[in-house]
Amino acid sequence: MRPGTLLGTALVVLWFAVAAASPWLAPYPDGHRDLTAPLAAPSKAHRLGTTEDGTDVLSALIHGARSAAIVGVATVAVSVGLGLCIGLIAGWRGGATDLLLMTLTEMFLAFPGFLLALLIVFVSGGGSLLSVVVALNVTGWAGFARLVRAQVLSVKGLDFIVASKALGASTQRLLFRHVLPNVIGPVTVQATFALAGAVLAEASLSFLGLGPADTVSWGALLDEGAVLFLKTPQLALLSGGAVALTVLGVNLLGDALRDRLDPRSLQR
Amino acid sequence: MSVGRGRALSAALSVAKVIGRGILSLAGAVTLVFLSLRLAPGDPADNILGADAPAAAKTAFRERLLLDLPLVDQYGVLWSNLARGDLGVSYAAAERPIPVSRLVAEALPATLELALAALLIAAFIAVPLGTLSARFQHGPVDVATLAFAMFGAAVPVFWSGPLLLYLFAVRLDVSPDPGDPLRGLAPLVLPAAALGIALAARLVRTVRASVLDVLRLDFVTLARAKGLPESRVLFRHVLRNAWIPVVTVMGLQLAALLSGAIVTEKVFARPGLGTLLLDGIARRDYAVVQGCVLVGTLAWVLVNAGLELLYLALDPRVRTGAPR
Repeated sequence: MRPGTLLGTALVVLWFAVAAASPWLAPYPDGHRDLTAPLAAPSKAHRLGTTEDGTDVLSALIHGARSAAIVGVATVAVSVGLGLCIGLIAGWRGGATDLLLMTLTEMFLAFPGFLLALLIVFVSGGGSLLSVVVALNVTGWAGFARLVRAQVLSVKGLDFIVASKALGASTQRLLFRHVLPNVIGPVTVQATFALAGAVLAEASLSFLGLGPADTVSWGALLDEGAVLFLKTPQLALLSGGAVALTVLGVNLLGDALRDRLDPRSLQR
Repeated sequence: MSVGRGRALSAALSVAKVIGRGILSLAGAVTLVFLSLRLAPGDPADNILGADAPAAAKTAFRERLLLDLPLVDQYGVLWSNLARGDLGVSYAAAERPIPVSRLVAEALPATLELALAALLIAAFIAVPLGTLSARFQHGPVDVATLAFAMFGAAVPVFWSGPLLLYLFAVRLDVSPDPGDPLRGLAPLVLPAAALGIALAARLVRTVRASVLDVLRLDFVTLARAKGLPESRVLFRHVLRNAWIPVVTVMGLQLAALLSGAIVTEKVFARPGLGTLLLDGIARRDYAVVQGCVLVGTLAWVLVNAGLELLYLALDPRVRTGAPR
């Protein structure tokens, strides 16, 4: 395994492990505030100090991993699901259905998704994990729909599909047994990069004050840390580092997957 | 029909397609912005102003946005207002209502300045670095470039920004003194650098890949066989043919530039469209938020359509629809 792949896998495994074990791993539960010790320096009770409202920084970082994982995975899962359905239908049916669905897709692709996400979180009355996921999905599916359609079109006319059609295979069988396996590789690669994008987008939304208000988020920690940088630099450094390492790990994994699933990219 | 006329027709058709797509995107964007407020679960007035806002404020909010009218009528009013360049009125900003279009017009130049400066910095880093990295593939420069691309794409501006501020403004204190004529530039340099470096990291891979593709072509071998110096081969023959994918990616990065500019303005406390938007959100001033989102989207659709027209004008293969 190449060093980049190894590093990527290690970072992603670490991220998910911390996210899954966060209730047991974190010294304090989510939402716990030590009101007697705001902005405390690192000590035995608070290994990395506390924030302005007395939240334990180490616990917040650990719970932040969980928020990032929930938003990232949920966003990508919904986007992939929607994109698969729309792309499969458009590519397979062709004709007017294809034209209609792809015009719609292009329209969503032409929208700066982050701005729309900001607007949606705002009009839904502030952030929660759910509203952030919904906001990121409003445009998130479109890239997958276009990719899936292109893949479907490229295999639709191939001999093995025509042959199984001639043998009387049902549409369902054709789509699930023959088309889908040929679509899933590129979709997996793109899903990995979309995961990195979702983590960054969630952190950006939180940094701007529009993230999930019901739980801790790395972006919100960074927002506080940037203001208090001279007082407690560790807050901004650690929360920003968590975002950067997570995104780096997911991107490295995406690169490795692409090399594995798309041999053409190896030439580069 | 003669070949010339056929070409002209197909070119006109391509241009019409681009313009049609632009109009459609714009209409879609306005519709999405319109629907997002009306379709969000709950009462819009409660959502925006907060459930505990005074009843009079909520009534005024509903009246201003015509929320009591049927959806179709509200939609029609929005379009007729937009056609007149009317983005609504900000009530929260002052005692006297201020037209949102004026607020946006005041904020936009600062954001454009930041975006352009960042784009320039990104191009100045990414184009030479990507070209060298492709020319010396697998060499030390290439490895370093790829590492920069990987790390740079992962580091958010809201992390690198405060670090840059700390390093340059606090530790090294390079902020120029008041008598310095360059002082006017100082508020632009650090934000543009933070945003530009992040952008360069995304761009450099495309430059590298696209130069690699061109380097394999026969005319490059021919140019070298003619005995041309390598610098001439690279900069006269290769880069000239490698730039189309680069400009495409630059166009795609506009979305990142737009969201990056909002974040950067917040990090560096710079005035601009992002700051106006965030102020609007903090003050729960819906008209300002909607205006900023619409103008941001308009700019983005226009630039994308402009870029597509640019390819049509410049690349004969795109223009004639010949296979690439």
